[in-house]
Amino acid sequence: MPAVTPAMKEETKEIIYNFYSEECNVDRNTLNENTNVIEDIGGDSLMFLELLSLFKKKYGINVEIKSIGKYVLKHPSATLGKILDLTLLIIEHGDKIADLA
Amino acid sequence: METSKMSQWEVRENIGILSFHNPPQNYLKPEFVELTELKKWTQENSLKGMILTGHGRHFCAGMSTQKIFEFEDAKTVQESFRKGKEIAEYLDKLPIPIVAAINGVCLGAGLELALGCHIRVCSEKAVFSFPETGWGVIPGFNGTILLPKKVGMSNAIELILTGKMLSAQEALELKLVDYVVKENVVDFSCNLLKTITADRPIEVIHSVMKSLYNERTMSYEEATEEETKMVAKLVLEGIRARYGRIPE
Repeated sequence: MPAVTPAMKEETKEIIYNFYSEECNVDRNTLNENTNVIEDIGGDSLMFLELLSLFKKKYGINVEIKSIGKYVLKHPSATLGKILDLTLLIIEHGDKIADLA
Repeated sequence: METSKMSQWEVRENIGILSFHNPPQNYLKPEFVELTELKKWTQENSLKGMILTGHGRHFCAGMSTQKIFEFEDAKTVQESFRKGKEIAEYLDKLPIPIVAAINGVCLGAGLELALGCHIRVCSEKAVFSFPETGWGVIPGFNGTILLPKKVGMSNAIELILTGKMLSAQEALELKLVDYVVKENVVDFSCNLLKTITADRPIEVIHSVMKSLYNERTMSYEEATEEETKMVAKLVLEGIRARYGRIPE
């Protein structure tokens, strides 16, 4: 699993913001780390799985839905800022994020 | 547009569209549609094909884990799954091609129902997984039966036991899906069905689909005998249509 660099973090953030902007039909410039995916832009929790598939090949991510569920249960990830944090954790730790819960 | 339980039905140019309707995730229970309603909808004789899809962003997130563990005894679980399998079997027996038009997330029971369709079309961002074993159960909605036939035994074992997620491209490479498309999956599937069936008479479509079903469910001898009967019937109908009678 790759260690997360500042450049990787910035690139990941761009991909995430562009994904939610496109999928929820909202202006990219209106999004920020406090934007709530469900309440503010009409998204849903399963969109995160679609988002993750964008990073899967790039970083060789292998993670079970159950592991994500276990982590999110203790660390709700409703805002774009939290979603970025969760994505970076998955890139770095893969399925071991369940152990971080 | 008609509705039953967690499903909606509409017909677009001789193509029936059955949608899971429990937004936003489209969680299902095995009896996702009333079978009598489904029979009523699909017995319209002008139907040349059918699409199974999910209302809104996602195809189906499978059964909710909360619902799975609400069952109180083995008998209730079995009854529920048997009812669901009756629906799946009814769809399988329909003598028209059925396309699963998969948008977004397709998990568990949703993926099992998609596997029961004849053709699978998905969007570029679709995601597939059998998460059941992670919850201590198995894909019990025909998943363990249908998956090896599509992706081979070794891939099926790996996918089911690891619960790993597949992207659309990976699903295509494994032959879990037949098409990955940029455009709206329902529009694409509708056009695909229209192209496949084009000017083919309903009787011919029905015979092809029945014979292909027989190939999977009958012995070789029985299936080939049924095929012979069907071709004889179609030949006679063709002659009658051409000459207005059966020549002496």
